[in-house]
Amino acid sequence: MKRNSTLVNNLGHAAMLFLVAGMAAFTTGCRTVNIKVSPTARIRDASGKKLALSVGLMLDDRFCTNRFLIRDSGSIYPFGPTLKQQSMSLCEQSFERVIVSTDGVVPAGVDVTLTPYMHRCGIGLGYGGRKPDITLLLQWTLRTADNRNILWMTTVDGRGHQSEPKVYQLVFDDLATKSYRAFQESPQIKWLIAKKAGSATSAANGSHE
Amino acid sequence: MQKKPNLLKLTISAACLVLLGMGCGTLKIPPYTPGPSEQAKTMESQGLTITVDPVLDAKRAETYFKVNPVSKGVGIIYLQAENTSTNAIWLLSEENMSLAVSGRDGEMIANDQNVKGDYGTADGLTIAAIPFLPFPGIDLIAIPFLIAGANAASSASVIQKNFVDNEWHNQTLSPGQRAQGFIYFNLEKHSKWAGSGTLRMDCFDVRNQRTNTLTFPLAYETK
Repeated sequence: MKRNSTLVNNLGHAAMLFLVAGMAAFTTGCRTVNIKVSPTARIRDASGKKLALSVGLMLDDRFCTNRFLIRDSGSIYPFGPTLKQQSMSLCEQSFERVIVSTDGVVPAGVDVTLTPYMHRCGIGLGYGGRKPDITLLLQWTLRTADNRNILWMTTVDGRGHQSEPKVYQLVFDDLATKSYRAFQESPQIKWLIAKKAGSATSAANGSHE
Repeated sequence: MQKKPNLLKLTISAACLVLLGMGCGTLKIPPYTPGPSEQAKTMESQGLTITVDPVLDAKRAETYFKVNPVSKGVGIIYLQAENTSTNAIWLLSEENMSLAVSGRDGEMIANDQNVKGDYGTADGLTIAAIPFLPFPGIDLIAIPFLIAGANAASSASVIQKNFVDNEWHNQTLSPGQRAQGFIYFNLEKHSKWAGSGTLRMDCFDVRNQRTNTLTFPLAYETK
């Protein structure tokens, strides 16, 4: 009888230790989050019509290896690889021709360069890690073909509030949709397309004369 | 006769504490109602109209940011911009905005705008629980620390995210376009930036390749 009660005691203590250690791991433990989204950027209500520009997509190391750390929870969010993949897919769906540069060299024969930059990240953790609330601010800078002068800049926010891992797909869908719309509505991009079309028309007229 | 520890009582107590912690819920912050307050200052130059409104009222800061900006050392400024020109395209980027603050050691320029914040005490609370972990029987003492730690971490992350949600979006403004948002500056704690600071904004016209510098002296009293 006495032996049994010692056994129960020990089991009780072990269970309690397990509970507390689990909570400690949960609150202090460092973890790298697995961000899994569709490799193709999903744009809501896309017109399917690509903008008539040849774009040099400039992706630097800082962008492609971006990581966000929440100090208090010790969680690391490696957004970089997903941002890289999504930017490439989004630009391929938005522009007629895209040349990707990852080494800082400006591609030859492009009309403009386009540089994405992960400006800010905010992740609100629900109590007990339930339904993270995420906002990413992605900045796009359009420059002249030599990548020197800025022509246009915008920042889009991708938001999502859902349980993991669905929340990441929501955030990147939002980023893709808002970026696509911003490209379509940019007065500078419209002006560049009109200018390019105008110079092509005058060149064609000149060859006929 | 040996006194048996009441395992059932211990388990129920632990469960109650966990449930109590779960009930704390996630911090909620109301969205900012757009628009500057009465103390805002507006400046117009070369077809660019800028309105600046520092958040000095502790109540406003507490309501919309859940921080005391003075004690935390963060400068919060509401910004509204409108391109009223006919041919300029103004670039307004946080990188080209800075806050000069006069202090005992001369003038200090603040241009770090990534508010990471130090809004939680989660690390301290969870660390406080660690010494209790190896001792069966008094593990229960550690549980409130762990729950409070997790809750503080959750609140800190919600506060930090709210800063991002309200942040100014770096952008170019074409003729007729307007935008608004908050800019932030990491400062020394208890900095008297609002009384002696000057906000400098270098706005660049990307079409005509010229810079328009606007300076706003911030001579306010902190409420």
